[in-house]
Amino acid sequence: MKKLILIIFSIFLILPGTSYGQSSADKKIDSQIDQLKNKVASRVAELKLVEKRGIVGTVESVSDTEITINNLDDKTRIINVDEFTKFSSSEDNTFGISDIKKGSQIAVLGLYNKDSERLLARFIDQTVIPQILYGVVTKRDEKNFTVTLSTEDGTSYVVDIERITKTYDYLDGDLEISGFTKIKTMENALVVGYADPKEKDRLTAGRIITFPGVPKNPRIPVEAQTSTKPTGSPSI
Amino acid sequence: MKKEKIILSFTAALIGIVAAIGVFFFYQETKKIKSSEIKKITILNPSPTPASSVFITLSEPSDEQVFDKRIIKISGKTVPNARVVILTQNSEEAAIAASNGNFSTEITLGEGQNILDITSVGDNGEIAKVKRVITYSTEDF
Repeated sequence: MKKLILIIFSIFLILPGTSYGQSSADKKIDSQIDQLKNKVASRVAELKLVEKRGIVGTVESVSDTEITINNLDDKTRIINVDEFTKFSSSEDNTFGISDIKKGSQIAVLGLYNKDSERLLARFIDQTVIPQILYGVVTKRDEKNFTVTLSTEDGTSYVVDIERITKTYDYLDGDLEISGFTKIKTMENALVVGYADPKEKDRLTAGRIITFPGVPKNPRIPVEAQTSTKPTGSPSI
Repeated sequence: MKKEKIILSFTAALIGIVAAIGVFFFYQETKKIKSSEIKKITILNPSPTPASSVFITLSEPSDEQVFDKRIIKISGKTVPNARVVILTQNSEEAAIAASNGNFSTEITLGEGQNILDITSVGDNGEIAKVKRVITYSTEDF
C-alpha cells in the first residue's frame, strides 16, 4: 500500500514537470517562428518599398555621399552614393565622383526608395543629353549648310547640317531618307542635336525629320526669310 | 422741469447726430482719390495663347522604368490620325495614330539609359510631346 501511494505521489510530482518542459520547448519554437515571420514580413515590405529605377539629369550640387540633379522634367532628385556605386565614362577610364561637377550630365541606375524618394546609386555614367527641338524652318543657308528653326517659345536656332546628319521626311507613318536640299522653308521639322558650347542657340544636328504636306505650326508666328544660295554646287 | 429735460435731451441728441453725420462725410471726403493721382494701366496683350488642340498620353512604359529585354512596346493615345515620331539617342520610329487616337509600336533599346521623346503632330501642324527615361540593364543588384 505504501508503495502504491509512493508511486501515485511520484506520478503527481513528475507530470506537471513534464508538462511544463513541453510547454517551454513549444514556446521557444513559437518564438522562433514569430521571429522568422517578422523577418520575412519586413523583407517583403522592404522589397515593395524599393525598386530599380534609372534617371538622367544635370548636376546641381555634389558631395562625397550625395548628388542633387535636375531631371528632364526639371525636378530636383537626390541620389545617394556609397562604396558599392560604380562610376563610368566613355571618355575617361578613371571617372569618379570627384569628376562630377555642377552642370555635369549623368545617367544613374539604382534602387529607388519610395518612402525617402531617394535613389541609391549603383551605376553612375557620364552622359550627354541631346537637345530635341520642334519648330518651323524659316531659313535655309545653302552656302554654310545651316537651317534656321523657329520654335514655339519664340527662339530662333541655327542648326548646322553635317555630313553625319540624317535627314528624313515623314510620309504616311514612315520615315523616308531625304537630304539637305529637300528641306523647305516654312516646313515643320524635328531636330535632334547637341548644343554648341561656344554659341548660344546654335546646335549641330544628328537627325532632322521634316513633315511635308503638314501646314506650319500656327503657334509659331514666323515669316520665311530669303534663303542664301551657294556660289558652287552643294556637297551634300 | 421735466419738459425742459426732454427738450434738452432731444437737442443734445440732435447735435450729436449732426456732428456724427459731419464727421462721417468729412472722413468719406478724405478717402477720395484725385483724378490726377489715378494711374491708367493698359494690358498690351489681353488675349492669352490658346491651348494646343493636340495632346498625347502614354500608357506604357512608365517613366524611369528598368527593362532586362531590349525590345519594348510603346503605346498611348493622341488625336485621331496624328503623325507620331518616337526618338531615342540612337533610333527613330514613326507611327500613325488610329481613328480613335490609339497608337502602338515597338522600339529597340540601347544599353543603359534611353531618353524617349515622343512627338505627336496634328493635321494643323500643332504638336504635343511626352518624355520618358527608360533603362535597359541586365545587372543584378
